[in-house]
Amino acid sequence: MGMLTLGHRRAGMPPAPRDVVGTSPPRPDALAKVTGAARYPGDLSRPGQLHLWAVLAGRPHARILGVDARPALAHPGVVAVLTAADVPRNRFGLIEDDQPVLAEGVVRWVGERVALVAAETREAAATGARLVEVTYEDLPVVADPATALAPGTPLVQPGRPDGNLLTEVRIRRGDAAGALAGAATVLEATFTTTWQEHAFLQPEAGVAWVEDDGRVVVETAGQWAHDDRREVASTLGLPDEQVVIRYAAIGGAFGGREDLTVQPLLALAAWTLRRPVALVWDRTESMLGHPKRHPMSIRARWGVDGDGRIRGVEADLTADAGAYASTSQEVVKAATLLLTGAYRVPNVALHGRAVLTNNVPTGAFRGFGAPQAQFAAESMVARLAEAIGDDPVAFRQRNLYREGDLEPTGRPLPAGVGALATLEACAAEARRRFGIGWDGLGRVPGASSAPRQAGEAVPSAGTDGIARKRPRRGVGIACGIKNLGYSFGFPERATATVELYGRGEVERATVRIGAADVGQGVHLALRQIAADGLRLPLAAVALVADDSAEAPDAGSASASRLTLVAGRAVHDAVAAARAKWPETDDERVEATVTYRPPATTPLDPITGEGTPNYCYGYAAQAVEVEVDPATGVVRVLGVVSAHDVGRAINPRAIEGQVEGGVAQALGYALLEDFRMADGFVLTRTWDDYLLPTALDVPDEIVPLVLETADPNGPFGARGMAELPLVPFLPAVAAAIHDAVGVWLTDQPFTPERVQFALDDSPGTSARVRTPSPATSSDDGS
Amino acid sequence: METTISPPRPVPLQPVVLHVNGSDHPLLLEPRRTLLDALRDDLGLTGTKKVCDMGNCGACTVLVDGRAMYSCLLLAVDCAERRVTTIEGLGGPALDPIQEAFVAADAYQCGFCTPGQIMSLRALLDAHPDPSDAQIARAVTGNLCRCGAYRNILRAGRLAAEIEADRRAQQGGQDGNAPGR
Amino acid sequence: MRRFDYASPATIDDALALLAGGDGAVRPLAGGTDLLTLMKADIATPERLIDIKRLAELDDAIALDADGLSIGALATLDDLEDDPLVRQLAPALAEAAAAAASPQLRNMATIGGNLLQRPRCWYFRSSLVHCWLKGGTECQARDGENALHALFDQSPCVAVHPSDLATALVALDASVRLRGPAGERSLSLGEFFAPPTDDRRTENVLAPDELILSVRIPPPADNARGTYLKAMDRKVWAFALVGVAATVARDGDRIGAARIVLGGVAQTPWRAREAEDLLVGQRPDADLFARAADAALAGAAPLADNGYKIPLARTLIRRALAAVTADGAPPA
Repeated sequence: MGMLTLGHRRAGMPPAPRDVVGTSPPRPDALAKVTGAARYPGDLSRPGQLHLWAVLAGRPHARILGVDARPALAHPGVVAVLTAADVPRNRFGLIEDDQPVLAEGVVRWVGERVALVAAETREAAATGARLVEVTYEDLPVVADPATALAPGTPLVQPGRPDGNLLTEVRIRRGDAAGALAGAATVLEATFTTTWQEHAFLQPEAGVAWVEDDGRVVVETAGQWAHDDRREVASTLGLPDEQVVIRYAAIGGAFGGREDLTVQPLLALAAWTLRRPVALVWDRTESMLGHPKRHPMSIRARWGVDGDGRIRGVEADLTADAGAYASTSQEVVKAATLLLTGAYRVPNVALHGRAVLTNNVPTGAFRGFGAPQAQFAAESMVARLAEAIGDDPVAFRQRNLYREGDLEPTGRPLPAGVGALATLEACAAEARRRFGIGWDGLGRVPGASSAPRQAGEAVPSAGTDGIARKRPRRGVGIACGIKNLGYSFGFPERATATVELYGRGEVERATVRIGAADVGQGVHLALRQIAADGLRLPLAAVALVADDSAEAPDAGSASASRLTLVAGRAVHDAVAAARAKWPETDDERVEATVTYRPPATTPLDPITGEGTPNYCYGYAAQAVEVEVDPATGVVRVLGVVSAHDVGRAINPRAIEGQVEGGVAQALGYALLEDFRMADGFVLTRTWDDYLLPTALDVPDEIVPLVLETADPNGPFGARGMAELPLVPFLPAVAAAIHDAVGVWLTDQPFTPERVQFALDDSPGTSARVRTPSPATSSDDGS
Repeated sequence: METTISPPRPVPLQPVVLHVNGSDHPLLLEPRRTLLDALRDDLGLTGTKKVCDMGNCGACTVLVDGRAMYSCLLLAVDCAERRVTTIEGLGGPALDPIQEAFVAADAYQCGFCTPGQIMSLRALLDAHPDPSDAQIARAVTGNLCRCGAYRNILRAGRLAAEIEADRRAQQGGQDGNAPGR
Repeated sequence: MRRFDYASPATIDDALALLAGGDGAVRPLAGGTDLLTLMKADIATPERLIDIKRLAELDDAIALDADGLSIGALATLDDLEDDPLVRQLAPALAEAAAAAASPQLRNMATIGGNLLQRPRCWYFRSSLVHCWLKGGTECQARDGENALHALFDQSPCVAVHPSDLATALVALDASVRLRGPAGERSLSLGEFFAPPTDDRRTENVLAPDELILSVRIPPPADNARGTYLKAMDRKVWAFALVGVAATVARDGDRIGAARIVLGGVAQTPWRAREAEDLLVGQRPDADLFARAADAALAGAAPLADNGYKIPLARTLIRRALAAVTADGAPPA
C-alpha cells in the first residue's frame, strides 16, 4: 500500500538540487538491527562491573520501620546495599521533584524503589535483593481518585497545599451554562479510560561508571539526554557538566522513557561505589516501575442549536495521577484544553483535575492526554450528529475549527488549521477505498459493506435481537487535534551545531544535536534536512546526537516535536554555517543556532485565558469494523488515517508512524487492559496485559498525508507521530455503534465490555458489576 | 506476604556443550541458567533479546534443531546435543535473504523485536519454502512488535520467500542446463 | 529463578526413583513452558528438576490401534496440530492445539505438560499474594477482580483451568496412562481432573511421584464429528475466555451421542451433562442447540465481573453444535 500525498508539495519552497527532503532513503541503522549487532542498554557491559538489583516495595502504601541489609550483605558476592541515606539529594522529577530515588520512611506505590543491591554477579544481586529485610507497617491505601478526594482520606504526599488534589485547571469562555440551557439539543455522557502501558520491548537498563576526570557517565536509553543529565546531577548534588548521559540504541519509548527510572540508581551506585555498574530491569519491574497513560473519567455535556452548530460544552475530567507528579500537571492541562476537540465552541466551561493515589504514577504516553479527551469529545460529536439526524461528516464540517478561530482559551489558533482538510480527505478516501462511508454531506445510502462479501448492513442496527446476533460491519469516523511541541509556557527550544569541512566547496558536515531516536527515525530526518540545505549527499552528513557532552540540547523526543523544533534548529544552523563559509578560507566553519518557536503562556488560573500552544497537528481516521454481537469480539478491518504533516521530510518514516500508531491505538481501543486492585498491579506480565499481534492489526491501513506548510517548521514540516493515537478510539466506538447500535463509553472495548453493552444496554459496562442475567431471552440464534 | 527465605544451597555447576551457530561451546553452568542467558552472557551473543523472559513476546526466539523456540524458557543444560541457531548464525559474507528483505521492506522501527521476527521467519521458510500469506502471518504471531511494524514485517516475509524462490530457480536453471553442456 | 539441581535420567524407573519422596520439591521437566514461568515468578520453588525428555520409554509417538489413538506424553502441540491421524480422528484436539499459544510455544509445549499447567489467575501468579491455591487461607479473586474466573463453583478457589487441550480431550472421552512407584494406572480425564481441595491444592489427582506416560483417545463412534471453539481477548495467543469442545455422533437424522465440554468456566474442564442429555435422541436444529446451550449454563453462578461468559459460552455451544451437525461438513 503506497502512501497517498495530497496538497501542495513543496509549495513555496525553493527547489533543492538533491531531493533528499521528501525521499525515503534506507535507515542508517538497518544493517546493525537486522544482524543483531545493534547494542541496546541491556547489551552493554563494562569491565569489572557490579550488577545492581533494586528492591521494590511490593506494597502500595506503608511506613518503613526498618531496613536490615545484613542478610543480604552476608550473601556471597553482595558488595553493598544502598538506601535513602546514601542518596546525596533524594528527589527527582520531570516537572516537580517530588519523587525519591530510594524511599524515605514511606512507600507510596508498589513499584517504589526501597534499596539497591550491588553484587559481583546478577544472580547474587537478585538473591541479595530478596534477602534485604524491610519491615513495613501498612497504611490505608488510596486506591482511586474519588476516595482520594473524600474528606478524611489519608494523604499520599503529606504537606502538599491541596491534599491529594495534585492540580486543577479551569478554562472558561462565554456562558456555557446559559448556552446549554438555551440549546436545541443537549446530550450528556460519562466516559472512562484505564491505564495504558508503553510496553517498549527493551526494559529499562544501562551501565554507569566514573571517569578518571570525575565525570559520571550513564549509558542508557531515554527521550531527553540533557534533562536526564539535569535530574541525575541533581540527585548526586553535582553540577550538570559532571554527569554525562549517553544513549545506546533505544528499544522503543512512546513517552515511557521521559521519566527517570534506572538512571539515578545507576549513577548513585557508580558514584558511591566507584565501580562500573550495570542494571537491567525485568519485565515486571518495568510494568510496575515507570508511569503509565492516565486513567480518566470524563463527564461531558454538549449542546447544539437548531442549525446544528455547537453552542456550548461543559466538561469535567478527573485523572488518576498515581503516587507522584511525573508530568500529570501538564497532561491534565493538555487534556482539559482538548475536551472540546477541534471544534469551534463559543461557550465552554472545562474543568480538569489530577489526583494523587497509591496507584502507579501516570505521565507521558504518545498522545499526552489527547486520546482520552477526544474519546469523549468525538463521541459526543457523533452522538449529537445522530441525535439531530445529521451526517457525522457534515456535522463536523459545520463545526470544525477554521483558520483564525478562537481556542477555548480565548486566543486565535496558531496558523495552519488542517482540521477540515484532513476530515474531508479522510472521508473521501474511506468511501473510495472501502466502498462505504459518507458522501460529503451524507452517508451513502445502503453502501455499508456493499462491495464486501461477508458482513451485512441492516439500517435498524441493534434494534433487532435476531439480526444483531450475526457478525455485523460498521464504519466510524473521527477527528483529532494534538499540540505539537511544548505547551503553556514550558521553555521550548532546540540547539544545533553544524560543522562544515572542505576545501573550497563544502565537502562534508557534522551535525550535533542531542535528539533521541527512539525508533521513529528522527536521526535520518535531521540528516536529510541538513543534506538538503547543504546540497550534499546524505552520506556526507554525519550526526552526533547520543551524548549530552558532545551534542547540544534538542529538548525531548516527545510532543511530536523533534522534526519541527530540532529540524528547524538544524535547518537554521546549516544556513548560518553556510553563510559563514564564503567569508573564510578555513577548511572548517561552525555555527550554533538555538531555535525558539513562538512563545506560549501559562493559562490564567481563573479563566484559563492564554496562548497554550504554537502549533497543532490535525488528523482524521475512518475505520471499518466487524462486530460479532454474540461473542463481543470486534475486528478492525481497515483504517484510513489522514494527517496534515506540513511537509513529509521522509514519507516512509511517516507511513511507519501511522501504521505503528494505529497498532498501538488498536491495542488501546480493543485489547490493552492494565488492571490495578487496591494499589496492586494485577497485570504484571504480558500474559495478563495483552498487546496486539500481527493478526490483530487491520488488514488495510491507508496513510493519507496532506502537506499544508507550517510557518515555522523546516521546509514547512510539522510533527505527526502522536496523531494516529488520537481519533482512533472514538472512531472505533462510532463504528461499533454503526454495526450493533450501542455506544461504548468505557475503554478498552474488550469482548466482555461489548457483551455487557449489548446485553444490558443502555448504560451498563463491565465497571458496573452487574452479573449478566442467566436468561436466554436475548440470545436466540 | 513474605515467604520464608533460606539462603540458597550451593548447587554444583554442570558441564554442558552448547552447539551454537555451528560451533561447540563447552560451558560450566548453573542448571538455572536459561539458554537465553547463556547465549547473551556466556557466549556474548546479544543479538537474541531479553524482553519479557516469560515466553510472552518472542524477542528471544532462536532455532533449536531447526524449530523456532523461546530461549528464555529453555534451560541451557537442557540444550546439550541440540543445534542452536541465533541471529548471529544467519547470513555470512552476505545477508540472509530474510535480513535483506527486512532492510528493503523497512520492517522495523526500534529494531528490538527484529532478530526474533527474523528467526521465526527463518524457521518458516526452512520448513515451507513457498509459504502462503496466512502461513507468513501465523509464523510471526508469537513475536510482538510494539512499534507496530507488522505490515512491513509481513511484506518482508513475502519478499524473502520470493528472493529465495528466485535463487532456487536460478540454481534449478543451472542444474537444468547441465545436461546440455 | 532460585537455584535448583538438574538430573537427566535415562529410564522411567530412574526418573521415578528421583521423584520419589521429593514431596513436590522434585519436579519433572518436559517442555518447561509453564513450570519455568512459575519458577521465575517465585510461585514454584523446586529444589530439583528431573528432565524427562530423554527417558527411553517416554516418547512423542502418535499411533493408532484397536483401542484408539495413543499419544505419547512428549508429543508437542505442534505435533498434534499437524498430525494426520489426529486431524482425522480427533479434529477437536487438533483445533485446540492450533488455537493454543504461539508457534514457538507449540514447538516446545508437550501434551503431558499442557494438561498439568497451572491456572492463569493474576492472584495465583503474583508472588505478592499468598492465595488459597498456594496454601493460604483466602481466594482473593472470589471478591476481587474476577473477570477471567469461574462460572461454576467447585472449591474455595475460583481460578479456571487454562488448557485448551484438556477441554477437547474430555469431549473425546480420553484417558491418561500414569506410572508411579506402585506401577501403572489409567484414568479417564474426567477422573484425572479434580477441583483442588484443602489437602490437594492442584487441579488433578496426579501424585507428585507419578508421570503421565500417554494419552489415549478411544476410536470415534460411527458418524461422529467434533470441534473446538475458543473465545479470546486477542486474535491469537491468549488463554480462553471460554472454550467449547463438542463431539456429536449421528444416529440417522437424530443425535445418537453428544459430549459438550466447556473450558474457562471452572477449575476443571466442565462437562455440560444436562445439555448432552437434552440433545440425545433429538433432531438437530437451531432451537435444540439454543435449549442445550441454556441447559449447559443453567447452573452457572457468575461472580461480580464474569457474567459475560454466560452468553459467550451459550453462543459458542450453539455454534459448535451447528458446526458438527451441519450437512456437508467433513465427518470425523
